[in-house]
Amino acid sequence: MELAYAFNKNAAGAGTKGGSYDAAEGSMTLLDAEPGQTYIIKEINTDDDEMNSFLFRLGCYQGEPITLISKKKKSCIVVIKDGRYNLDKLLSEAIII
Amino acid sequence: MRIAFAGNPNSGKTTMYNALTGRNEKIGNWGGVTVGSKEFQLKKEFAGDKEVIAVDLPGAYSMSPFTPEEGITSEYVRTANPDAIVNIVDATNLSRSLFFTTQLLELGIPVVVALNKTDINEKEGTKIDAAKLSAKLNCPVFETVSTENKGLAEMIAKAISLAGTIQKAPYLQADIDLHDKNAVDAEDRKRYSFVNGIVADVETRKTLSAETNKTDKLDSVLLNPIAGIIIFAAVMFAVFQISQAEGPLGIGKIFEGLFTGWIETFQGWVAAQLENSPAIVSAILADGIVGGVGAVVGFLPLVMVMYFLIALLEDCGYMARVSAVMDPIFKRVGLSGKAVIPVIIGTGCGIPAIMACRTIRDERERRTSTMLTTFIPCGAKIPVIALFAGAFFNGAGWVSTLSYFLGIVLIFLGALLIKSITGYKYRKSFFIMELPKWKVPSLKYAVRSMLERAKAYIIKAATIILICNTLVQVMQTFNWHFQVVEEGAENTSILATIASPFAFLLIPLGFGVWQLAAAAITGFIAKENVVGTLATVFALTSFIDTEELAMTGGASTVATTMGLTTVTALAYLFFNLYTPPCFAAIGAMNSEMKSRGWLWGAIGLQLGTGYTIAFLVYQFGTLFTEGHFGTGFIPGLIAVLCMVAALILIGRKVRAHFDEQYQLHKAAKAAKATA
Amino acid sequence: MNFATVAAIIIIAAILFFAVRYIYKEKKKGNACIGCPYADSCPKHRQNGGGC
Repeated sequence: MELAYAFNKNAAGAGTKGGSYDAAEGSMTLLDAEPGQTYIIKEINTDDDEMNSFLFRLGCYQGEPITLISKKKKSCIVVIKDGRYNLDKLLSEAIII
Repeated sequence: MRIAFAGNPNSGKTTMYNALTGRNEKIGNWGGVTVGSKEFQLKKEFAGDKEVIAVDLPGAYSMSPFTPEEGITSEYVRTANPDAIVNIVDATNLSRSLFFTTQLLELGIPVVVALNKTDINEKEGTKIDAAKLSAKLNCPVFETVSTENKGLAEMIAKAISLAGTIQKAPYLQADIDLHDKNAVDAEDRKRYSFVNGIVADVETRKTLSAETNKTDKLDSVLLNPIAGIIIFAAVMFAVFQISQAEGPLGIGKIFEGLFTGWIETFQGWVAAQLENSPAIVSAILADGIVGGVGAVVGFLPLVMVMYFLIALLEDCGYMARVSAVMDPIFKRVGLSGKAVIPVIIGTGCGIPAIMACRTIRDERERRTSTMLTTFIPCGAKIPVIALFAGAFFNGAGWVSTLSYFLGIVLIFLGALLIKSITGYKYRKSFFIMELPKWKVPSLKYAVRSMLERAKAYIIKAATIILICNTLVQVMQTFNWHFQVVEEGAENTSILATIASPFAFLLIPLGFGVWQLAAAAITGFIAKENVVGTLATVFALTSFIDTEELAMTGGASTVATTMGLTTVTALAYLFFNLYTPPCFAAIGAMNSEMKSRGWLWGAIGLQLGTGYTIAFLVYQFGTLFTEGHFGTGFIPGLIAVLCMVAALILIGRKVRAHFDEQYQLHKAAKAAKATA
Repeated sequence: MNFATVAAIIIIAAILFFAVRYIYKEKKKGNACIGCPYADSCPKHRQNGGGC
């Protein structure tokens, strides 16, 4: 049910600046995304296996939805599963959507 | 019988544990409050006739640990063979929590799921079909609200009745090579899709988590890099003002005034009763025990108000936001936002602060935080600050604010220093912090936590500090031949001869008097001792009564008794605040750092910092107020320069070692490439 | 020696006795550091632990 919701949201946001899950439009990091939109994670690229698997356990892995709530210059707030998280710049840039 | 409490961070394990055992362990609204396992007997009303021990474990997201405190949990449930496991599941985040649940269910130990925080779900219109979930997971599921004691009795009764049975897992991990990363990944994905399937089946949500809500707006302000930091500074300033400063907000001071009044009356009464007794008896009882301990206990109200406010802050959910907003600043000095939480806890007591550093993943970062966190003045240093602020600065609020601010500055400088010594240049340091839902802090918990700490404070004053004061009193009354020292020959007392060599070292700092050196030394046993010992050696307690001082011209009177000017008083205060903490905290540092080198480095750094700060304050303070440097400027300068030289040498040695390793690493890589 | 002195000496002795006994009991229980409000959560059971 959640997944369906994520896809719907994406379809709605497709017209805006690269907001959809579409390989043709290329990929971007969380910091380039639109707040309020839900995206599907394409790739997690932290160069750190332990960090990757930690993110995995939170439900943040390839193919899962992630919602950007707000972003600042050096950080952003996202919703993964049903939890809100604050991510720093480095981590936001390592999550490719 | 042992029942382990396991679940995701911030799911309410410790709150439940406290409700079931009647304990008052630290709770807070962020992930990672509990950093060690705790155990205690269940209350009779829950356990019946059986002896059941509840074991509270740190939160974990899975069986594979990411930070040291997560490792404690997975190791415990794997190796300690508890008779049953209560898996606390945050009902507002079922989709994430069940991942760990399915892993716990594989252990063969009977599991009972406590679907906690169901009150929040009710408010948000989220429904979870507990019966269906129970059928899917193959284990009993109970809806609970641990803050209101709801559903706990049934849940724990079931867990007790299941002990000894064997759990059948609804999902079993395939037999894979655990060293094969891809296989593990694929297996974890399968597990998550199993969990997602269950969640889709049992949960219906009215409000979706991904929708922006009111608290997001609040968070956006609190996490703003400029506004957020200003708000944080304002909040902490308010905490210190309310607890320690005089003024309309100064609740702590009002109570303190009452308290010290009673204690002094009592001391006066005791002294009057002993008018005709030998001086030594009166000195020990009236000055040492009543006066010394009373001086410490007199500041209890300040400490209590402080603990109360900090408990409220910890309970509402603000800590995670502070950690996030401070992250970019702490990153600049080689730490991360996670280091903020120990610092705030450190305003209460350094020991839990040092232990809270366990949530930091990177070892260098963790040790650095452990080393520096005690620069923030703890609750035991409040009496020292209050005493000096009252006696020398007319009770000015800026003294305590300055002490905390300088503590933070020292943490930053220290972190920069350690960063440059350990040769840390670039390493990816990620920061992720769950932002928990805001909650109205529980007044009941705050009051309980405050009373608990007050009790510990009084016990400490009545045992350790009392004995120290008595010893100090005896040691200053007698000389080495066990004769009572005569008036005018105080320098021959045992205490004076022991403390004098140390006092000699303190001359460049402006307070090379044996009495002050003795107080600083007893401060290592417990920082409150500084106040107790000063009260004892100067046979003075009236100097604590700030109002009285204000009338009699204050500072100058005390200055003549203690041989301190305002500048030297400030130097002495800072010396006591920023030298190593008490032995108990040093012990905690030792067990957390697990490295002799780091421990001695920490003690050395703290001693050096305390000495240097006091030196600078005294010498430059004297320069400004009197137009020349204070006594012992040259020897002090030499001492400080020696410390700097030692730092440079250590840094060189450490870095040379790193370069060596790096070269080896490169050579190995090159060899691999050619082969 | 007057009454007050005797009473005072007895009181001092009693206070010290109870304080020392409390510390001794705590030590026996395994709390190495008295007055540490976190003595219970000390990592004494873990290897290398027990510093406090």
